[in-house]
Amino acid sequence: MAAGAAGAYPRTNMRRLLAGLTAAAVATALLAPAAGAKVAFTGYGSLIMPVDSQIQVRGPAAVLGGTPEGNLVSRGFRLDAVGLFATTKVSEDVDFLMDLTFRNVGNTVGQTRIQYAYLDAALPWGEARLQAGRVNLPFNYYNSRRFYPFQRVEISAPIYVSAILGLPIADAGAVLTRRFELENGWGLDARAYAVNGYGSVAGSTGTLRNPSLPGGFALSGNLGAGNNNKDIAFGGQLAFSRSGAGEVGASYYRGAWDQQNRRILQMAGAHVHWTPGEFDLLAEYLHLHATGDEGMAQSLRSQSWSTHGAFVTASHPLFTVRGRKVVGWGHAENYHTSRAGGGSGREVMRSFSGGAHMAVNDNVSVKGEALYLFYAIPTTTKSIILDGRVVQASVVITF
Amino acid sequence: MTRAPGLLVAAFLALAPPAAAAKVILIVADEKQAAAASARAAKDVRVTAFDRVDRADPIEKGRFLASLQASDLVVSAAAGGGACGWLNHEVDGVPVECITPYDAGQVVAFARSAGWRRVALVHMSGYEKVFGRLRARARAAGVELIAVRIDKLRDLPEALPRALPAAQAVWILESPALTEGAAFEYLVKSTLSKQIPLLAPGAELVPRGAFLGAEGDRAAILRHAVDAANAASAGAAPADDYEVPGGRLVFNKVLARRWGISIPGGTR
Repeated sequence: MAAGAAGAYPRTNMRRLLAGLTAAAVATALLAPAAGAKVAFTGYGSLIMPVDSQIQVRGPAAVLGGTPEGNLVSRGFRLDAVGLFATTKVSEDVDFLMDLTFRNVGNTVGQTRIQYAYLDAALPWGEARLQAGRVNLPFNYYNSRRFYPFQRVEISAPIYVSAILGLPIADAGAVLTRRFELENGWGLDARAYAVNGYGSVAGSTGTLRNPSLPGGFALSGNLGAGNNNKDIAFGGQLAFSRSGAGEVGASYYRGAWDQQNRRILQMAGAHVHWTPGEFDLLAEYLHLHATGDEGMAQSLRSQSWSTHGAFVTASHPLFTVRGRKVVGWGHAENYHTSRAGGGSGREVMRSFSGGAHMAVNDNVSVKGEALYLFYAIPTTTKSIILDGRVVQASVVITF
Repeated sequence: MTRAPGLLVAAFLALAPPAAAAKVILIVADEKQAAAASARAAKDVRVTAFDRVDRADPIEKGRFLASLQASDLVVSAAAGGGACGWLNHEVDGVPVECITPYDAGQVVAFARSAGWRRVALVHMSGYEKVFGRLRARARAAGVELIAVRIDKLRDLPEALPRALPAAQAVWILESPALTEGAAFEYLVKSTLSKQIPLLAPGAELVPRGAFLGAEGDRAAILRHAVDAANAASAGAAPADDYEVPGGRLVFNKVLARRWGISIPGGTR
């Protein structure tokens, strides 16, 4: 169904609702400014040391770019990311939050990102809140609550969602949240959002994804500063949670990604976060469905494709060192992408990893990890294949 | 009609009176205390549970600090967890008042009755204001407090021996860094070896080697904290005494007998 025709009336409403909510949040903020509002700066740094990294790369030179075929071996130190969080109270119930993150830091910075920057306002209805600006999308659990190195025990984020889907999924728009308290300590968090949404790959009008190495053309690059079409992407999340037990939820995203509003990307997700005692288990399922993608048609011989997959991460304290808990963890993920309706030729990604984490104090934690990765995607000539193992250590500092 | 939803929301929000800024933030230990304190707190007093804040998460810490720094006064009644030291370190430009989690007057009175004239007071940095208050109170009772201020725990083995020769007792302020783990064991060993009584915050530290454990009346402390916060939010001058009478002192009878120190109730 052509979204442009079918969705014109609701989308207009959506845009006006979004504009109204944003204006309302700004108005609320300006009506009661905090006297001499101060900004609290906090932040983090993440240093990664690949102790032994060996990745076999095979594929046609044209799509490997500058990456040579063969066995890539690396060892050394890498300042993975440095982030600065600025938070201020604009008024009693309105905060402004911003994250400025620097990635691949050397003499120069490889990447500077405003990961999020939004007003967070309490609305006068129960527990409702509105976030407006560049917001993290409430899609599954990891995206908004495990993305940062200090929020997780692993060094590597789940590879498919971080390298291909591109975490964090943050975009310009608004998120409306309301919590409904239920019985026995349970609550239901309902979140709805409207954002610009994913667009096409830069420089292309008909490509959502290119068959490439993971990270080469992550979908996160398709989230631009403005909207590339007249379509507003929307979605939401419903999650039941209870302190000490965990959370279970489902998420959805839908938006047209091309300039004509005809090609649609839909994402559906489900997550379970189970926390009995000191055990912590997070499992996330992801389903993507895209139409009209000329980029992936080179691999899958169809412009419509879908991805299914999931990851699971479990952790539990193993022992203590000088009174500090050493947490052991394991992670597995498996994703595949194929043309809609099935057929030969599919993108496959599997990864297994395990390791340990220890918080030295409130500000410093050390991690170790061993990871196995297999990734394959067909191209018009031969498949791109990555097959590797990585042993690495990390220090995360917060301040 | 299509404009209706957005405009309605905007109009409703714009017309809704914004909440007045909280002038005082009262920090308590946990959710249970927060619920009890909130019921009695004035409109301009916001109550926050210290254990609810994940201080290792800079995003959460930033939000917490931003809310504290938008207030006029922070009153901490959170015993344990190093709340007082943490708040004094992190909060910028807003006065932080800590309510001593026990009746320091009882400790001073006992020190005086035991004939101790010089007591070393060991505290982590961030507790300077509390130390100043206690020193004034002790001085009025004829007891001189010697400051042993510790920035990092590794400074303790150097700082404590410097103070011990002049001290007749060692008093440690509540801070988990000093009352837990190796630091407390070091304090116990150092004082026992020189037969110097160790005065500690909490009765549970007596079986672990302290001579005296001071325990406050938690309910009274919470009531006092709410009253102090309410008064400050109403414009009253900041209280100069954030101590709450009551509670009890628990003694190590074995040490009292061995060292010949008279304690209330005797050593039998």
